[in-house]
Formats: sequence, C-alpha cells, structure tokens
Amino acid sequence: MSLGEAEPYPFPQGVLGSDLSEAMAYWKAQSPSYLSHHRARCCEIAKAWFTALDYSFDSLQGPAGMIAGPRWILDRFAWGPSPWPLHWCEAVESLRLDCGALSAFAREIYLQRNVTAAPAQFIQRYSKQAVASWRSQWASGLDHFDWLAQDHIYHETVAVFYDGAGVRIWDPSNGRWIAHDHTKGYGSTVEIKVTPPSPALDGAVTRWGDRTLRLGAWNNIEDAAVADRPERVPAVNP
Amino acid sequence: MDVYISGLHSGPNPSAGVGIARSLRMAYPEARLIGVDYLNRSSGIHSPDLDDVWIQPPWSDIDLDDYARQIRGLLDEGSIWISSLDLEIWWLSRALPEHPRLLAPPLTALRRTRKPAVEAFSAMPFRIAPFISTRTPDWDLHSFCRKYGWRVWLKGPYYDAIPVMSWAEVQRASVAFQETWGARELFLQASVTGYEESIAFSSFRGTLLDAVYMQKRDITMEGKTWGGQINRLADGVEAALRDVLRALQWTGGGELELIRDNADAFWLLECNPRFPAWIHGATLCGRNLPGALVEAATGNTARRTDAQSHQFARIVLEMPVREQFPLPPLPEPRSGAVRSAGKYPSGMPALAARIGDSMDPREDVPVGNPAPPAIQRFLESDLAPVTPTGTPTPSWVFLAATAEEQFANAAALAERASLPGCTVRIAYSIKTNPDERFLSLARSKGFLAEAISQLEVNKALACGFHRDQIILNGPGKWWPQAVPIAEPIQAIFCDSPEELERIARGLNNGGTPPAHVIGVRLRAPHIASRFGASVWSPAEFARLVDLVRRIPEAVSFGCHYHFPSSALGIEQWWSLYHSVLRWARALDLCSGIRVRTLDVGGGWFPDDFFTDFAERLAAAVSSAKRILNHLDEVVIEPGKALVQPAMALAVRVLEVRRDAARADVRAVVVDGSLAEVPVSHLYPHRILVRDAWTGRWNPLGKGHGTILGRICMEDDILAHGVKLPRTIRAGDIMTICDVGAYDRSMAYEFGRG
Repeated sequence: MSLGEAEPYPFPQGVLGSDLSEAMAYWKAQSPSYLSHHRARCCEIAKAWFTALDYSFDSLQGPAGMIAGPRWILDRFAWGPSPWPLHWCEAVESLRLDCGALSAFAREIYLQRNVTAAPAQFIQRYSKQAVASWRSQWASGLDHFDWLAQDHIYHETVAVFYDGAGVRIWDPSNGRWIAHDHTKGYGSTVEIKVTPPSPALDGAVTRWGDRTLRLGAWNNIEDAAVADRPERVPAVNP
Repeated sequence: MDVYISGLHSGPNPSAGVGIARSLRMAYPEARLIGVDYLNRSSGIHSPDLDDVWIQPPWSDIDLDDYARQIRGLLDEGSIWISSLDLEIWWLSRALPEHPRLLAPPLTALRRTRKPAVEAFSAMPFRIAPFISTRTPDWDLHSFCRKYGWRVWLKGPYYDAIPVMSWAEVQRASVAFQETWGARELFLQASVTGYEESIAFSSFRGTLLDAVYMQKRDITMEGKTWGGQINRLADGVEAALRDVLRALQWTGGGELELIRDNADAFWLLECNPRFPAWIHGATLCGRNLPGALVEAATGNTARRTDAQSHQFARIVLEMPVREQFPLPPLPEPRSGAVRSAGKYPSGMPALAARIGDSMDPREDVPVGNPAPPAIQRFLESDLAPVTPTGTPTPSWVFLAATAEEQFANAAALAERASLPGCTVRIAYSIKTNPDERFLSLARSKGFLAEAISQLEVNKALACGFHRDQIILNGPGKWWPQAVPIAEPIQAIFCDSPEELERIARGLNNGGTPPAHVIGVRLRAPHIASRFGASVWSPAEFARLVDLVRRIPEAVSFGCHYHFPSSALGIEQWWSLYHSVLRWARALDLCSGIRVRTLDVGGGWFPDDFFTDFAERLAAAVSSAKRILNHLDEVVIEPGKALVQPAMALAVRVLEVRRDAARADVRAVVVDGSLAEVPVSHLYPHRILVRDAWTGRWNPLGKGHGTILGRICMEDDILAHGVKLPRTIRAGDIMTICDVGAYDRSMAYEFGRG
C-alpha cells in the first residue's frame, strides 16, 4: 500500500565538466558484474555456505521476509575495492567487496528465495569532494573498474521484481532501498539500467515507484523527474 | 490575536510547542504567541518566536480548578489555546468541554484513541498488531510472549511503551509502569518490524483541514524523528481520514504513528491527540498545519507558507536565555549517583495520578479473563494424597497420572508424524529430571534416552535402557571417564569440529564405531550459543565439510541442534529448524555424506509442544524428508515439555502478613524457597491452595499478594501478583505446580544446616 508521495521540489542543478559525458558513455557500455565459478568444490562449498547463511537470517520470515533486503551481507562484508574477475570461493573469503560483488551476492540470495532479481546499473550524482575521497581510497586498491568522474559515479545494485509489475532497487553497498524520487542532489539517481530478468523481457517496460523503466536500456531519471511525474495513483490495499 | 501554546520542552524527545510557535509565526507574523510550560527547565521557553512565556507551577502543585478558570477566562476573551501535552489535552477537554477556542479533541474522541486497538481509526486501512491485556492470567501472558518471540512491548492505554524481552522484564516493567502512571490496565503488544512513518493532520470541528504523510529519514536513539520527508497523503487514505475525523468531530492537531512493513502494509501504533514535535518540518515543506487550524478557528487568513524543500532535518541550536527565566542550578546529585542529573522531569506522571480516573474509568476497561489458570485434567486426583497432616513440607509430589498422559501423548505424536521410510522418535532428556519414575515411563513408551555425561549413560542403563537406546550429547559427554566401547550406543552428536575430528580419526584407524549414528551439533549463525560447530565463516563450514567426509560408510551421519523454544519464541524456533535443514543439506551436498538422522530440541513449554508443535510436526518432517532425501530418522527431544507439569512442590504457610486494615493478605511466608524452585523467575508457576474446609485445591488468581520463600535471600520471592485468600492461615498447605523440569533437577541445598 502507498500512502502518498513526495512533493516535487526543484533543487539547484550541479555543474558538469566536459569529460563527464565520455565517462558516462564508458560506464553505459559496461555489463553488470557477475561472480565466476571454478566449477570445482571450492566454489560449490562457497556458494552452498552463502545461500545457507541467508536462510539463517532473512529468508524465513514470511512473504515480507522474502522481499526484505539481505542486510546481513554488510554485517559480514565491508564495502571496498575488489579484484576482478572474482570467483565465489574468493568472494566469500574477502573482507571487502565492491558494489558489483555485493550486488551479485544479493542477487543470488533473491534468486534462491525464488524472487525474481536482476542487475541494476546506476549513474549517480554525489559531490566532487566525495568522489575525490573515494578516488583516493580506491587508488590503493587492486586493479579496479574506474567508477568515478567529477561528481558522478557508476554504481551497481539489484532490481527486485516484487509484484509482477514493478521493481524495487536494493542497494547492498548501503543496506537500503534506493528511493525512486531521489533525483536531485547528493546521492541522486541520474540514469538507471535494469537488465531484463529473461531475454524475452528485453525492451519491456516496468515501474519503479512512479517512474517508468525500459528493461535493458539506460533510463534518464534526472531529466524526466519533474516533467514526467504523473499524478498520484494511490493504492489502498490493507 | 493571542495564541497560547503549551508544552515547550525542547530536548532530544521534545514536545511540539516550539514547532507550533514557529509555524504560527510564519502564518501570523503579527500574532502574539505565548508559550506555556510547567518547568523553567523546558528550554523551548527561550525560543525567539514566543512573545511571552507563562511558567505555571508543576502539575503536582497546581490548583487544577483555579487553573481551568484562568484558561477559560483567556479563551472567553478571544485567545486560542493549543496544547502539545497529551495529558493536558485530556484534562482540558474534560475541564473546558468543547470550548470553541480550545483547539483540542472532544473527550469522546480521545477515549476512542485508547491503545492498542485505537478504535477511533479502525476504518483506516491500517492493521493493529496482536495484543493482550495484562488483566489476563500470567500463564496466558507468558504464552503470548512465546508466540511472538519475546519481541513484545508493554504499553499503557494512553502513554508510554517499554520493550520487554523476558518474563522477568515483563514483571519488572509492569510494576514500574504502574508505579509511574497508575494505569489500571496495561497491554502486551507484538512488535512489528518496519519503517517508522506518520500521518499528521489538522482538523476543526470534524473538518479535515490538511494532512501530510511523513517518512522518517533520520531517528534518534529513542526512535524520535530527527529528519523526514513530507509527502502528500494518498487520496484514498485522505478520504478515509476525512470520514473518521468527521465522525469524531475532531478539533486540533493529531498524529497517527505507523510502521510500514516490507510488504508495504501499514500498522497503526497509536494516535497522538496533538501535533507531532516535528510539525514545523511540514511547514518548511509548505504544509502549515497549525496555521490552517488557527485560520479555521479564528477566520483570520493565514499567510501562505511556501515550500522550501520536501524534506526537513533537525539541528541543535544554542539560544540566549530569557532574562526573566534564568536557568536554575541542577538538582543536587544523589549520593553515589553516577550521573549528575536525571531525566527531564515532565511532570506528566503527577498529572496522570490526578486525572487518571477520567482517562481510565473502570467501566471503560474491557473485561479481560480474570479467571485463574485452569488446573490439569489429572491434577485433582494426583494431589489427593497431599494433606496438611500427612505430607511433609517442602516436598516434591510426583503427579503420576499427569506424567502418564504427557508421555503417552508424546508417543502418539511421534507415531502420527512418522512417514514411510522416516521414523519419528522421542528422546527423553535425562538432565531435565533424572527421576527414575520418569526414566521408567520413557522406556515403557519406547523413547530413547538422551545423556550428556557418562554418569547419565550409566543411569539410563541402570533404568533398563539398552545401549542402542541411548543418545550422547553435549560438550562433556565423556565425563567423568569414558567407558570402553563394548557395544555401540545409538547416536553421538559432536559438540565441536575437534570432537568430530577425534572420532573420525578413531574410525579411520579401524576403531570400533562408538555409535550407530555419528553426527554434529550445528550452531546456527544467527543464534548466540556456546554449543555446536560454528558455520559463521566459510572456512569453518569448509572444515566441517572435510571432517564429515571422513566419516566411514559403516556409520550413519546425523545433524543435531538444540535451542529452547520457550526462550527463543515459537516462530523463531521454527525459523531455526528450517535454517538448520538448509545447513544440513549444504553439508550433505558438499560432503557427499548423506544426512540420515536429524535430532532436534528442545525446551518447549508444555502447552506449545502439545499444541503448536504437535500440529506442525508432520509437515516439518515431510519438509525435512524433502530437503534431506536420505533422511530415515527424526529424533525429537521435548525436554521440559514432558515433565514440567508432572511434579509439584508441597509447601506450608509459615506466616501470614496482612495489610494495615488487617483484611487483605499482603504476603505469606512459606517453607519452600528458591532452593526448591530455582527457575521461578523464568515462567509463571500455577499455584494451588488447599481449602482447609473442603479439601479442594483452588488455583490462585491475579491480585496484589506475594509469596515469600523461607531463606534469607532478597530474591527468594516465589510469586508476585497473586490473590491470596483472606482465610489463609499459618499451617495451610499450598502446591507450586509446574516444577517437574529444571526446578526439580537444579534444586539445591540451602539453609538447612
């Protein structure tokens, strides 16, 4: 049930640099992250351990528990640079994992719960100071994907298909759902691409809150935020 | 225009007064805003938005009739009064009923906001979490807490809520709650997990003026709003709210506190009959609810409030203190106090004590179930031999018929739940009560015996169990010295990888298998426990897989877990069960060694075992068989469920202590003690008093009496809150029931010379 939604408010626009479009083009060409499997006992044991662990935390709390974001992942793994390619047996032993690895973990959990889930790639806006800090943090890491440019970042999350018609976006790096109406300012969504959960759904349309997303394509959320906002369609389903 | 705004406390758990004043200042820059409070420690009195401040005496000292006359005089002269104090609203609504300038709900509406049902808003699309009145017997309250996994709140009908997570906490909090607030009836309500959200509204004479839906975006340690997003209310919800407020003829602000769960269902926690403390956050987002209220009440047009954002945050600001209200020194620290000052003294308990009758009239209290807990079917006959002259006290009474029924029911349950190719067996936990009469009964019903030491193995053998009817468990199972293995016992469940490694090494070296089933006790990652093999890290799990792979084919492999359902909660125990099935399957698949035995316990409260567990066992066994394809045996260890009701303790009254009027019995001292009932604090024990005239055993209901034990220990109190009969005399005999499990087996010698 939805009780309502936010009043639109025009926040001040950020100032973008000339090379951002190049970075964004580079990011948009990326495939989402997937963990590799050695096809050996090491990865089988790792995957079995990981999925059993979820049963101990969230999976068995009824229907609402099946949808619940697997918050426990952040209790077990901190966010930080990961080397790629990354295998299951390496990932479960890691102390730090980047957003791609954490999302692959969370996606696997939803699939084990029989909840449809797919990769969701984001371009988000933060601040130049935050991006500079992350760049410094990442510089000491291993070979990694360049996910920072000016005040924008590339980010990976999980799209959870929860009611047959819409998605929620779980951000395992931060342990929370991403607000569909957070389209301006620090941490806002600029563009999003949700991988279709099956090839047959490529190009199909789904809902993210009051947004319309085309699966398999980058959707510009920031520009569409105010202009395309439909009138509310409240649902009252106690 | 003069507007009086009361409730100016502005600490981390603030009243709404300052927020209301700030919003009205934006709506009416020329209005005269007078802040009202009852303590000069309320920092909101220094808010620059107030033109003047009234400090009244504390609620304990104030002359309420005179104060009501003062306020009526102000309102009659055209002033407006907006209160942000729940109890003041109650008092004013009674003292100045429906005064057009008192912007507060009528008493009839307030009474319908009583928690936890909040009946006034039952037409809204919200759910109410399950609850139970504390007027019901303790037996049922304990059952409620187990059902909801000890994730429970103790609530008053109009104010305060305390989380309680054990029976001892329920008892402590109930006493503290009633001492503070004096409420006649409290409630236990199941906790709901989700996001905290609110609807705030403004209404005048039943007309909804405006409403907003606020989602908390930041909260304090106390769960109070520290930042939020203001949303429009969905049309359907707004329409429902409009109808409800019209029916209630609501005037004033209001807040519905909600939890939104993961499935987006809304649960109504309570209705506050006033604006919330964050109300100015809504004003900053363009929705000035206090302004709308004053506009409707006075007809003076409010200045339009433009949205500055759709979210708000709170920050801490220092303010210059008003010259006429200098800050007093802190109270003198109490002797030995760790902190120099206590909590902000709101004075609300003092007001509650003075107006409690109007809020909580006896006729309004729903009738609970004041009947004492029923006694078991066979108890009357089991207790027939217990007489004042023929029974030494304190003494344990074996309730033979009750025991027979418990054991027979468990045997029947196992038989019903068995599947073709998968047998369900009951194991009797010797440590729960090593009384030979129970062991004999267990053997006669075909149960296994579960031992945790070699001494218990010997006891089982002495009671006629064969070696292949014994399960050995626990961290000290070989203590005091391992008996050479002549013939394998039924099962051994290792408590650690080290033990499993030791046994596997022996088997791999050609040793005789010590048991037909070698297994491991699993420690589920989400449960704090010192027992079993941890699987919290992938390395621990991988090591366990490698060890299991070393178990030879000649013996079966099994998995075991044990956690008391009565402490964990019923649903949480089942979650643990299903979680362990997944871990067992992961071990099975990764090691290639099939799980053939599943041994689960334990510690069910008897009622739960023979109701919920009995109803769900067959499905649980099917589920286990589906997940573990090679499973051929499920062992259930009911623990205290079998024997807890099957023993009682006969005690004698040593002294009767009456209240000052020498009428009601305040307490009795008995010759039993904590030494005989060492777990009396963990769950309610049913207590029977033998009527000296009729010889009948009458259960004690709820009351204000206490049963004190004989020994010189502060905590030797066997029961609180019982109704002791006025006719009770020294020498009378009582029985404390439900002591057949750990009360009996953990009883100790004390104070006997």
